[in-house]
Amino acid sequence: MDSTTSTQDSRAADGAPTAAETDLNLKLRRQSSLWSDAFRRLRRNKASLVGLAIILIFVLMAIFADVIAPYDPYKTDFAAVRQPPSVQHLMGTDKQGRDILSRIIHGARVSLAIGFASQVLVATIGIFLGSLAGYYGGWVDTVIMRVTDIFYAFPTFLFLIILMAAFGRGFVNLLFALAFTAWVGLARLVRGQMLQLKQREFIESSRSLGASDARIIVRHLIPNLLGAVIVAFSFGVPGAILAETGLSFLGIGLVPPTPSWGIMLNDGFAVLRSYPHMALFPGLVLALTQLAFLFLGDGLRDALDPRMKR
Amino acid sequence: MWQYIVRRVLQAIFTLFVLSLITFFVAKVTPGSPLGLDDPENAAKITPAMRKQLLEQYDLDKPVPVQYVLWFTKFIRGDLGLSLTYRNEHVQDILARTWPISAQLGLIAALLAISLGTLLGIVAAVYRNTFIDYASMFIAVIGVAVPSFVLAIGLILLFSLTLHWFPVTGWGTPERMVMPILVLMLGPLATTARFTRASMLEVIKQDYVRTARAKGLLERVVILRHVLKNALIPVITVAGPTLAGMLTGSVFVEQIFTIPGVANAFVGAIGGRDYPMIMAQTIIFGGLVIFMNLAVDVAYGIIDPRIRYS
Repeated sequence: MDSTTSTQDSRAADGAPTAAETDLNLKLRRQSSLWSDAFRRLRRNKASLVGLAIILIFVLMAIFADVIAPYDPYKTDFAAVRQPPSVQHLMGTDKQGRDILSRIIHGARVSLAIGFASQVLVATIGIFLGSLAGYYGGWVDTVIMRVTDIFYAFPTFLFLIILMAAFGRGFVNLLFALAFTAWVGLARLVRGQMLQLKQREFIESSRSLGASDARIIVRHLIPNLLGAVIVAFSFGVPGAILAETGLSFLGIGLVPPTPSWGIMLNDGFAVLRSYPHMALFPGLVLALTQLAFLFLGDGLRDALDPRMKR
Repeated sequence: MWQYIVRRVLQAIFTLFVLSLITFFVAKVTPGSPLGLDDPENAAKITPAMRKQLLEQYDLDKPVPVQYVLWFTKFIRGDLGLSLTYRNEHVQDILARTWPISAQLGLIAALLAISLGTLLGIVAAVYRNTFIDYASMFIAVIGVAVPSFVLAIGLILLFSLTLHWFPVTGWGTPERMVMPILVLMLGPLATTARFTRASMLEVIKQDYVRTARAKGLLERVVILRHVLKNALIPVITVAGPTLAGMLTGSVFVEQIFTIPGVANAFVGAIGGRDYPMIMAQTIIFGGLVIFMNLAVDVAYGIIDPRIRYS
């Protein structure tokens, strides 16, 4: 890790690297770049590769939902409601005769969109405020940290419920509610990393060469805390998916007829005794996604967390 | 240390004040009127005079900031106000009715989760890379990954609808309590087990453990005397967030198993825009989260003399 960052520094001073420098850079990078190191460690971890494969399948399912899904997820068929799994409908149909498999495939799109979009928002807010607080310290730090203290004490899920009840169900509202309640953890993480990093020698040397604050933050500090952010991201996405399905299950997340796994679970739970397939399949798929993200997240943490470095 | 505790308590009071402010104003932007006054069905039955009287009785005719001040002055005198969904019932009476049930559920689940989770983690670490370890960690991974509402649905399908061992709903008799407690405790149990195992393995690597082994101590003595004491200290830090997470779990558990507890009353209050209930509950939950975090920090300092308060 140190080798890459210090070579970046020597380049930062005058812009274009000399040929010798490039050569040296390449050599050093081949020896031990943070990312190739991390990737090698990740590859050794079987469970996280399985997790990654499952997530990739879900991502492909989400992208090509229109092609893969055997039926239109919104198409009702009142001649065939609540049918158990059959050859025509592999996972059966729901209370309006919609094909459950097709709704699960389109549901992957909804879940992943919520998961990733909310975490992009969280990362943006968290990195921005965390960097400000950690880099500048003083009253900026005090103000931002007091705000995170307050947010930290909020019972997050209950606050999500209150927000969703106040501003109404729906995709956009849910996205902002999730970002609004989740940025605190990342801001604290980034600030903590910043505090450690900014005292390191390569930052000092960069500053002595006249680099601006913005340049130091963007070019030197943020790339170095990216590992921690990626790990937080990999745990944030399933967290957001869980919150979405949970809120939808309670009836205050997304609006029907959106194909959300949470809404499907809610529909199925109401008639669990007679039509168990309606809740069973969305439940299994949700559990599988959570499992996959947990495996990948564990693997990423072991691969990227410098404290665990062997 | 007392200085530190006093400062944290003062901070907590300020945090709760801000929490109450934000919750109050968010609850107030919620569209629709409480008491069902805007309901077209009721509109015909409610005369303007009645409407005016009702609004006055609940202070709803005054501007929102004035309403907050009125709520606040009542609150510090211990009057939580009249509930809007359960007519003519004081919020404190509703809480007195619902809290013991939730507390019973939560405490049993928490005690089981922490004790069994720690035990599972210790056993897995002691017998690391054996079948016992893999089996324990399999349970733990399932517990972390499977969402409580999916787990609840699975248990109902298996134990209630297929095997007919336990009834699906209610609270009070032992057979009704098994499944809710199981669902609520599995997540925290799994988190504790994973963390305990990781912490144990970290300590087992230390030089002083090698020394203890080298001087010929029995493995049992090494584990009990030297490893366990140091490994369990960091586990305390996850106890706070884990227990706070049980508040979220209880929302689903009480909904699914229709337990007349406090989380159910909260969800009901949200639906009815019952702001006195929402306020009281948010403050209590927030206070609980803050208290648990503080208790964990203080306990940590008492147990681990290396920690200094600042």
